Amino acid sequence: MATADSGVTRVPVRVADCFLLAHDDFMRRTRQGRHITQSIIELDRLPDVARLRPALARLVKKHPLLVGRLRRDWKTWLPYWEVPTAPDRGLPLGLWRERGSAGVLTEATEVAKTMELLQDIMTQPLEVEGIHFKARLDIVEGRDGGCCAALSWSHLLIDGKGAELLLAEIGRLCDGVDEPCDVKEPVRPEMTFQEKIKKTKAAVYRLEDLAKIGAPSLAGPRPRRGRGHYQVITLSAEDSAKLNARVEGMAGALFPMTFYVACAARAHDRVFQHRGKQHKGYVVSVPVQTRKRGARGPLFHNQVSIFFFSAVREALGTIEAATAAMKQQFAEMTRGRLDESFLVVLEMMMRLPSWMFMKVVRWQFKGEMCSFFHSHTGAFAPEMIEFAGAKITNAYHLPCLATPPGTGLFFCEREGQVNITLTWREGCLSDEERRLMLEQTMEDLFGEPRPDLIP
Amino acid sequence: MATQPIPQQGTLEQQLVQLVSERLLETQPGFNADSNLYDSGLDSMAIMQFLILIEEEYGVALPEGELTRQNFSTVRSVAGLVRARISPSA
Repeated sequence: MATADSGVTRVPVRVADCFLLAHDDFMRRTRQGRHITQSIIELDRLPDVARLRPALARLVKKHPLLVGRLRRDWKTWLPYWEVPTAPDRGLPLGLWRERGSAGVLTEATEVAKTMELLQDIMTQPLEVEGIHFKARLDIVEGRDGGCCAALSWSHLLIDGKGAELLLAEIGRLCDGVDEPCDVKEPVRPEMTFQEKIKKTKAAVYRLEDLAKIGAPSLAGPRPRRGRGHYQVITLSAEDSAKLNARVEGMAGALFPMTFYVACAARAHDRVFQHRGKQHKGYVVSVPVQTRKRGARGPLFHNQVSIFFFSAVREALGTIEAATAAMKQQFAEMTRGRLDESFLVVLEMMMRLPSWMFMKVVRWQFKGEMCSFFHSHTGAFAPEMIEFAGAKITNAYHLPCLATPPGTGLFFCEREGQVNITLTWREGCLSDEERRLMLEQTMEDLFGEPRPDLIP
Repeated sequence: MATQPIPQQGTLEQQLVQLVSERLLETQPGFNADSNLYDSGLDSMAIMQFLILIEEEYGVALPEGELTRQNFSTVRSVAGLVRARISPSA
């Protein structure tokens, strides 16, 4: 970290941040909002707001990157964070109560529906009074006596795992525990230019192969401005146990992610078939963590790479065949160090202006980026039991959604219960198609139709 | 890539503990062959990386049927699997 002047420091961005910067810029230019995602924790009661306020103030002082601004160095054209050394405002805290709730949160503003409020917050800028916050926290008192805390965060600064770690950090600060938690970042080896070129080959060949398949999305390559929609289905503990047993039988106990990618591909294929379209296959980019597992940090920067999976028509006939195909690709990509190779590709693109960066990304797939968004993030913050004095009853992410591709199917788990999050941008999925997609998802998850689980 | 001969159980455990700590997981002080790997953050990606590292280091590919949660719960049990591939009585 180099000091630029007395009140500001410079923090370099990480390789994956440049893709997220280009993507955020793409969303802004096409009037789709910004690349903001929400991480939701449901609580059995209201958290202690009197503990939250000082914790959020301490949070920004401890991690001033939360109010950093992205700049570009005029000599190298590399982006960097300009960070104030002594920020004086805490992270914004919004208090809300759903119409019909007990109204315990007296300072709260009344809203009709929690989900609509959350969707609105995600489309708003995070800046407040000229301060470039990269996150905010909202507490919503529900009409059922429960409550949810929504951390809205910019993908410019953190990724999904980082958001879970940030929530845990807020929880610790609420409990008066103030310890280092952002100390270690993955170290990337120094490479010569020739070594870098050699290292990019695996990713470049992979992308060339995938380009032959194409990455058709339900939205099509043209950006759309419509509202984002989210549907979260939480399976019961009993259904989750049944599902986990089925996943274990198909993907093996250790690689559930391959089953869920296959499931998301078949669900999208069902909608394409309903539209009368038979594509060669689909391409799905799955984020993979580059943090060392088990670490409390790093909280910040996008500590991810990407695995590009393909789901070709021949492999989509059954969920068993699709899972086997994904598992094989997972092994091949891990063996080929595709995650490292792809990071080197991004590193070599870091100096590109954002608009050009996105042109390069979308060029390979004729304007598309991938066929749909997907992730299986496993257990959500398993180390967190309480948050500011309230017990956590459930937790999941509401990922940001850009077009293309316009749709996404995500899975995570909290204390033995699986959450399914379907997201779509207005106009990308009709209600009938939404239902079809969920029907196919449930059928693959349970091996039989489960209309009882589809809202 | 040249592989090394598989050492005795104790040495293999030490080598795997070192490999896990350096390459895969952010382990806590006191991490040893009996520490629970899932508690230390082992996930799908880390397991796949672990399998490939074992294959590259020792030339042993563990069969699908042995990839269970139980078998990957500790370094000791993984070392046992690796040893069993060369010596069923180990």
